[in-house]
Amino acid sequence: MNIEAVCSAFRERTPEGRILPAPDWWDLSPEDREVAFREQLAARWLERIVDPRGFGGTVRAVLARIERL
Amino acid sequence: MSVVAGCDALFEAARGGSVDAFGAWAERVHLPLRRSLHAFASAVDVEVVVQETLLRMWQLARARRPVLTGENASLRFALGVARNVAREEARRARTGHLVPLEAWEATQASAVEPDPPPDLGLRRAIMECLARLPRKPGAALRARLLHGGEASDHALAATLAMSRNTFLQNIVRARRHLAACLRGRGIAVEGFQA
Repeated sequence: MNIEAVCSAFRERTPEGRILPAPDWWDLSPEDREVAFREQLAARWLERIVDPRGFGGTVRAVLARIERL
Repeated sequence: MSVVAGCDALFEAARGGSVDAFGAWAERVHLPLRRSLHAFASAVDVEVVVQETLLRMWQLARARRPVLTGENASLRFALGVARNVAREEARRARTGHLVPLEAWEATQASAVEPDPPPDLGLRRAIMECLARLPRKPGAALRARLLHGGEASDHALAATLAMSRNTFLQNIVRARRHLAACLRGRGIAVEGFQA
């Protein structure tokens, strides 16, 4: 479940705006972090295809941040 | 318009203040950026590095400096920013020992191309496979796909009256079903665990 949790594009931020690693990421072994890297790629690719504007979760998260600045 | 020209033209439009153009540019460079960070995958949460890189590129676009010249200039510049952000994150997390030496020393990213827009036939196949998913796994995966950038898994799970753990289990099941369905249509997806 930890690997799947890390595949979300949602990341918490500090009050200063620094983006924080997913809490579950710290619990992954180096080997599992490799797996998470590949599954993040697949997740972003799929999100991009399904999204009506063609934006994956990472880009949507960044645009939401830009629009709040 | 070629793929490369499209990428740099979008970045120029972002410099004019268009958030939509920046979003389109970010989507074109996002996967090449992410792939370029593979050497850092054990040491940093690559999602953090990619998001921070894109935010810095937006700040660069708004500052209108420096002038980027040459083929694929905006992507090449972003690759350098991403590498620097990855190094900063590895130092902060004290995980630098997990990064191969050549990744610390590399100053120039290898040549990469922006991603072309997705193929319409592929999109149709994926939408059909998504529609065939069992109810709860399908609901969980659709929520993550459409809202995962803006909302936490905890929040998404609550909208479906699921615990976070059940939500995650449903996504794992949904991905397996989806990968099997796509494989049945001759489509292999990088990173999918079927």
